[in-house]
Amino acid sequence: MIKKYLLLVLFNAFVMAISAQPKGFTALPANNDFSVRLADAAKRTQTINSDFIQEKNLNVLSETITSKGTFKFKKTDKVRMEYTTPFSYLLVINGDKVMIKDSQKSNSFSSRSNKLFTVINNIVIDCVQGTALDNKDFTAKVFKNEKMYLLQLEPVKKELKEYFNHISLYLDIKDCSVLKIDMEEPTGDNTVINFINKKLNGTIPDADFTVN
Amino acid sequence: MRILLLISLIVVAGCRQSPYLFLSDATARQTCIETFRPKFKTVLYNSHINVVGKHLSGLLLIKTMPDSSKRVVFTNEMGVKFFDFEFTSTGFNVKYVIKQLNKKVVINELKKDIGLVLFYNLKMTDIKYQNSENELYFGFKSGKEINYYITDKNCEHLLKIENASAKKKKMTIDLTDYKAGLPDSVYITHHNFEFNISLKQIER
Repeated sequence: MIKKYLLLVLFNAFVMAISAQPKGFTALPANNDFSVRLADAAKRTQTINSDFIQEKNLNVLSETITSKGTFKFKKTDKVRMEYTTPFSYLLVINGDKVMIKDSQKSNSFSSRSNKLFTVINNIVIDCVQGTALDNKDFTAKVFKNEKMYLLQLEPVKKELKEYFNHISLYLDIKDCSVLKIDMEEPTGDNTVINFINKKLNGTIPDADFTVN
Repeated sequence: MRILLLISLIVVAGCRQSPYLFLSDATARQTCIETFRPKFKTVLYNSHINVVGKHLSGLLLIKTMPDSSKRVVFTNEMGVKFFDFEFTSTGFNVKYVIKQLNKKVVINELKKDIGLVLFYNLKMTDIKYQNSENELYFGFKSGKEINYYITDKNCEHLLKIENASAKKKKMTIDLTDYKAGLPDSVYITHHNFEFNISLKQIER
């Protein structure tokens, strides 16, 4: 009887360990060099210039809204995300200043004045700068396969849990640059941003990050 | 003297007349308005909302579900969902609403505005027909209010929808160019407070 019970417990533990692991990925061994590699990559990355494809999946409705644009990052805290298709929308982050421009209006504000935006600001910077492991708003788990690292971030605070179940960052195993961000919402919907045609450390003028 | 002035003001305010006095009663005609009832699978709008000094922009997706209910989802451009409403034959359900918008007055106003565009709960059995020189007015009573669906005089184009109390026009919805079963552009203007919505269809 005890033997049977022990077998059952072991089996359950095995199933839980497997299911906690994202499909196609394995957990990193204890003595891994991931954080060193990530910090090293962040040190080397001065700028990123990339295209992106965003897919918003409304799962209950079986609908995907696809949009495209360009993404620019300049160390240490400048981001420009410009949607060009099928609508125009611009987000510029420059330090703690933020500008949002849609087809009708432009709005500038301090990210400090908006708590959610401070968090989103930090996520974007952390994702591209490789400092996500240090962000106290999330607990992080790291997995890998032959091509990618997967950094799974789970929000700690209640107000963030309202928006995200978890955020998955897929990093290129060669240079730890971000390939894909997947933000999963509690409602079952998710937003995936794929970064393509990525160029590292090219020249990007400061004027691209001007907040008026 | 002051009392007299006050009484005059009350009398003038009390005598405020319907803004639709220019209309003449028309004889009942075929319910051609029914031909404008939206028929669509999925439509995506680029959307802007201005509400008491605040500006919101994003994407409004309207979909007819297999059970013929309608789902209306509004997200911002970066994918953050603001609300998800369901209009069914038996009722209206809030599937999701972001905390900042979760106020009864906001939800009711959005339900009314979007519902009018979707012909939600519009019963073709109780219509008041009127006309002006160039337009036909199809009046539908809704509690103490009346909703007018206004077409050109040949009933070939649905031009606008107006919502009014007995004495005041409260809201106007301008509609242009039907595409994929819904208007290409929708402009919703509230006349009693700053709350405007503009929608423009996006090709996908």
